[in-house]
Amino acid sequence: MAALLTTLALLAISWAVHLIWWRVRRPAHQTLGILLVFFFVPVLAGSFAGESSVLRSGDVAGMSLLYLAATACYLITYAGVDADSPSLVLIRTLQAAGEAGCSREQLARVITDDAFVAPRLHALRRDGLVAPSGSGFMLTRRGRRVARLSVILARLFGVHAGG
Amino acid sequence: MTGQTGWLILAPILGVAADFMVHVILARLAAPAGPVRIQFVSIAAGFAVTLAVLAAMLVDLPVTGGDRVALSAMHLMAFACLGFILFNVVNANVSSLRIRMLKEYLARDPVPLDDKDMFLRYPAREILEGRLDRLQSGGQIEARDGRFRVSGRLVIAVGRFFAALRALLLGPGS
Repeated sequence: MAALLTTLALLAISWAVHLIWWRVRRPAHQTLGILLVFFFVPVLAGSFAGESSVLRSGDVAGMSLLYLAATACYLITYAGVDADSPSLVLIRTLQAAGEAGCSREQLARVITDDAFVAPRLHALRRDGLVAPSGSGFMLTRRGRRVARLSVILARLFGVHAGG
Repeated sequence: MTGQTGWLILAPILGVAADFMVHVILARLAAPAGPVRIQFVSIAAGFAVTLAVLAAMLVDLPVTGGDRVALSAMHLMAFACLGFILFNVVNANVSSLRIRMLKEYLARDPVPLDDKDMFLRYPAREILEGRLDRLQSGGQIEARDGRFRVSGRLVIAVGRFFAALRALLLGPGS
């Protein structure tokens, strides 16, 4: 029982530290900031607990797996907070419209090139996946690796892009 | 006994491996079922494997009833997280515009691509149509008399969750 409660407590403390940091001043590299918080909280907690810990040595594997997997899930969820997903924006807009709903034209005023296409092109450059080359942009070595991996995964899972 | 509970991590790892394998097999055998249905079936298969492995391993462990429940919950939660990660990896290949753009650059590699080409290839109107189709086929929104409305309770809850998280982290009105 102690292992589960300790892991949940560590996740809650990490999230609280992340919340306080973000409310004081959001870091420039947000993903890195979240990773730092979620790394240092358990490390510091472990060094304070030391020998007095009530945990069994065997529990550490399960605790680590849950903690790391939950942190990865949070990073995925945070991507929806940091950058607007078109689906989330549509749902928010339709929710705000209530029973009256929205026409296709009203929704087209929300999903625009400026709001969705341009920021994603910018993000590819910011993350070092594409770089200027001649008259346009080309994949960097890292970008090529990510793109090839995506192609392999799409083939493996039999998925086709759309919207 | 102290080290024995460590082996329980095999349950969620085998569970997510089963989730992965079932998805790959179903994508070949039952492609018309659609990626979302395939994902739910493979997650259910992964969950069943996790549960079965946990049950088999816990039966011989000298732990209390309370610990048995807590260890099961912890490893099922770990599987839920791993399943969520796999679900999002698959979905990113369906809907992530960034991934689609990267594939576009790859298809034209080593010829550079202009932003204008990208705007022509991925117009916002096409993104809107794709999302409306997907949200309608998933039952999250409905169209009546040429107007779209939210129709699923789950999607309302998800929308509220993201709005609340955003307000909490980035401040109200962000």
